[in-house]
Amino acid sequence: MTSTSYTRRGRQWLLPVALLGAWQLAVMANNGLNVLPTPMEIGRALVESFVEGRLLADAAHTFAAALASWGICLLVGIPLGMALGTFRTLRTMLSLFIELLRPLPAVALIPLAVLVFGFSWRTEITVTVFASIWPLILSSRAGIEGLHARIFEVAATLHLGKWHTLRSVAMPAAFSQILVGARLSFSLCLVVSVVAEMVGNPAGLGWGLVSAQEAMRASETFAYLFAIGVLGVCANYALGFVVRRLLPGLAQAS
Amino acid sequence: MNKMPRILLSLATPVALLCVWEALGNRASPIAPPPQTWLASAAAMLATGELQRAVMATLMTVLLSTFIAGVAGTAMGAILGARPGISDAVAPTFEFLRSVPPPTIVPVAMLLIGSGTVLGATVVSLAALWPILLNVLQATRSIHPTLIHTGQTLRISTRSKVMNIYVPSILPSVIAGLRVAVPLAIIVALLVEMLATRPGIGRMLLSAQRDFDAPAVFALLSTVGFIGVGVNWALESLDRYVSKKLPNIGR
Repeated sequence: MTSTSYTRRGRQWLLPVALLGAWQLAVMANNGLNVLPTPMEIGRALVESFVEGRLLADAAHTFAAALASWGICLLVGIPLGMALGTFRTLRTMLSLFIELLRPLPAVALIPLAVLVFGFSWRTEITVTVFASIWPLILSSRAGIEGLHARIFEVAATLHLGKWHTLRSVAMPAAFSQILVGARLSFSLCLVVSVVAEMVGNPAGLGWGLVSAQEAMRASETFAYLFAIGVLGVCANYALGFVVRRLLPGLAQAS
Repeated sequence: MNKMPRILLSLATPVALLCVWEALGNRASPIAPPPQTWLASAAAMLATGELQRAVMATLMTVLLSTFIAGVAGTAMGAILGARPGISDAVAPTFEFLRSVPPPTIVPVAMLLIGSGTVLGATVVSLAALWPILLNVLQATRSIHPTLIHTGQTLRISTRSKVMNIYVPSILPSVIAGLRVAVPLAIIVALLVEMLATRPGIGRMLLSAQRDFDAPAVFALLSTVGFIGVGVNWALESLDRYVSKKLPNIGR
């Protein structure tokens, strides 16, 4: 059992290592006009920008912007979604509105946000919130809508008020579904804030990536790409961990 | 009977909002001009043919890339899904490549292949590849072995095996992948046009913003919105059509 899982582990690491090796050799063999940096050079650029503190500062900016946007999404999206799930009239009134706004690509919104807020963090947060709030609204709405009618009958039998029902009955019952939306929303926040930095706010990892490319510093561009990927993987693992701790039963579902 | 008032009610909110904006908006506002100025701006862009060309350019990139990504993603997903040994070996590599946000490939690709004609198609197909590949991989892996054994027992032809077992099992996941991939393809196509100044709606949006031409920004944004809604609707119809036509294999 352990030996097979070891060989499986080994095989899983074999491919990335082989690919990197092949990359290194191919670039070294083609010793002419190289646009493509070798993995060694990328590693060196990664260490250099890390030591200078630039990479860490940029990553911190992106992470903070994503986190702030996520906070706004949670504060606005969950109540709005739950209200949409509770009141049918409100749902009907806003359904077309939401269907029209939701497919609007975040990138197309950046020029408008720049027009209103200039090249600033406000642009970044606005665009990120607009793009990442939909999963939360939809999952909170679906969470409330999917509740069994009997739950509300029980609450009515116990003579719970409307507010009390919402807080102690509907909210806990819809929690798992809302959590799925919250997780999706955070991954979106991270991606969209990087994109917003590329076009709308000259700061953070997205701007670092674009400015390295514009300066034709290939190894630094790849280093930033790598850093963004690592940030994504780490955030995904951390979120998965939190979700498993909060809801052990949901581990398979998400 | 209850349907008509509901539709009217759902129409009322956007219409009311636009009317209020129209009534209260300042025509010379640099950030929020009223809707009528958007229409005027769109009409001007339509008259010069600029808007049609931009829409065509963006749509061409999106459709071509989605086609490439659909074919390549389905093939790769099906092969990897049928060979658990290979998909185990590539799993961590895929996990990392998948978590690199697709829009960030744009600067790297500009560095490697320049900002020529192939840039858009390459980057957008790469971005659209993942959702399709991963969906198909999952679907191929979860084809029940009994289905394949039954096919062998009945000695049906290869053609019949493909048409009755593989296609019905995989096609819904291809469409589910497309529903994620196409909106992503639109985003990346717009970003390529913005960063590499390729012709298309993205470049028009950026240049309208640089000229502080707010009505044009709103007109272009609405155009992008209509494209998004249209694409969404088309994929939903395709999904419904296919799930009605396919034989039910008890998924």
